[in-house]
Amino acid sequence: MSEKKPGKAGKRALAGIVMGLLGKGIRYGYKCDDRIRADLDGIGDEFTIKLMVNPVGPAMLFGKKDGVVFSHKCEIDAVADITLAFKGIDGAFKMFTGQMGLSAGYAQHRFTVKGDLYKVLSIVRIMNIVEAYLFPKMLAKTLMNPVPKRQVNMLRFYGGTLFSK
Amino acid sequence: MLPKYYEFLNSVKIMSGEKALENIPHELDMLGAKKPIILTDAILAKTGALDKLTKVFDGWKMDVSEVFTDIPPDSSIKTINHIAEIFKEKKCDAILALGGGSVIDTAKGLRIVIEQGGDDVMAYMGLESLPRKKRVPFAVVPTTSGTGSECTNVAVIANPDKNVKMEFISYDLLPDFTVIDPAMTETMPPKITANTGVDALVHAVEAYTCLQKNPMSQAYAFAAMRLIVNYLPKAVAEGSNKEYRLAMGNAATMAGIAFSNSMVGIVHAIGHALGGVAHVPHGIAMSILLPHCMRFNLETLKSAYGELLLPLAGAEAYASTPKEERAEKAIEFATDFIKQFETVGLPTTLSAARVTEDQFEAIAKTAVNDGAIIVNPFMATKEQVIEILKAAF
Repeated sequence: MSEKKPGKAGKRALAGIVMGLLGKGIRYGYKCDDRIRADLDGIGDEFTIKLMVNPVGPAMLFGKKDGVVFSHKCEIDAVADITLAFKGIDGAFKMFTGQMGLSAGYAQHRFTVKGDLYKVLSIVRIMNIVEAYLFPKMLAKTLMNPVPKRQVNMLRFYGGTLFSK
Repeated sequence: MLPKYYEFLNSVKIMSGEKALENIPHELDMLGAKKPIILTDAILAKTGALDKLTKVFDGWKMDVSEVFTDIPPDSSIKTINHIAEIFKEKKCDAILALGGGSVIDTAKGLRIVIEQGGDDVMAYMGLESLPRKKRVPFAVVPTTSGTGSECTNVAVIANPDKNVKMEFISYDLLPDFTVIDPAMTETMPPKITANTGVDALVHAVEAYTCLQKNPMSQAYAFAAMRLIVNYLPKAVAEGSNKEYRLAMGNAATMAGIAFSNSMVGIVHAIGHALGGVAHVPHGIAMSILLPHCMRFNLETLKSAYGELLLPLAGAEAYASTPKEERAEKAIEFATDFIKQFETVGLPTTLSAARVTEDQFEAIAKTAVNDGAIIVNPFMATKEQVIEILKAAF
């Protein structure tokens, strides 16, 4: 019997969960990893970045306000300084489940960007670092070259991501 | 091996050959243009290139009186927004760009503002995010053989207030047609011929090897490399030869088509930063950086660089070199090929280009945020970029 693959709705639900985890990972990463902190601070003191999947979501906002890094779910038409929009759920699902790296997603035209492209590289680095914490090394190696070194151990990062405010 | 997924588009009609200029009015007429604005720079206006262009409109019912020549060496948002006001005020209906990368990028920015509406090009920054609107006919006559901008979906536009460059990537930036006429490049001095030609070579090398490479872009890149190694030294030595100029014009356009569909890599990422921070002309930056960046990428790209030996050094050299040595040989070939242009004043080290070591930190910081680095097969860190700069010093 063949393994049952998730349908579009299932993929959207799972992508939404991973998106939320990434957002929390970015928030925790700002506290514990100086590369994430430097890149987020380099983007600016106040900014919003939206990740969304066309045409109906999920969507998430993250950014900085009053010096505090935030992330939360949002409506698909929420306004942001920079929007990374995945063209469809299949491509987004691959990227959120560790089957495709951000560089490969870019090379395959899986997403569009509205806003300052020079800031997107910071976002790519931040996502790569967070994924390097959240995904096992063997998987991370297939997604990025090189894999950023972990500054704190994976368990601590998971704990901080899931339980810190 | 085919990529799992790729996209390729070149919708630009290419008109190549002697007296190609003559066909511009007809093409614009077919696109419905009655009053194109001509964008060029002050030097081209002074040296007669602009006259050569306007002369071909004699007898045509087309108003080419609106000419803008005040385009800075780095196209800027202020200039674009200013030209957009003129375009609307004078009721122009098409864009004709005559010049190098800066003029062409300015024209691309102008087309964005006019087609998308609004009055500030900054509102349209991004990647593949411009919806198709009513088209403004857009033609390009390149006056250098290097940028390939006449066939690319990219524009880099400076924001002088923030001292940064903004990037626009969209298929909507592709002109309707481009004219490669050797009469437009035959007076280019040897040093500029050399560094713009090397720029085209780097486009081809990076397009052939970067993460977004695909069989279509590789075909264009391969053909461009063959033309460049055969004709660039000749065009540098004998600039008035129309055959050599035409070959280089075609090579630059093909390399442009290649990288428009696969992007570039670390050579361009650092090169853009060298331009922004140390004001090194783009072609010179490419000439200095290519060998060092190829060495940096060698471990990851050994197989792809090995393939480059065929278009670069030819079939005999490729066949007589053992497979495991081909990548190194390709780098050696590229190094020697560029070095031959030192005789016409092309700097091949950063110190010769008057870059100082205290600029390395700022250059590296800018380079790692350049969009080109995302498709380099190895995501370089700031520290690694500084090592490359030290090697190139």
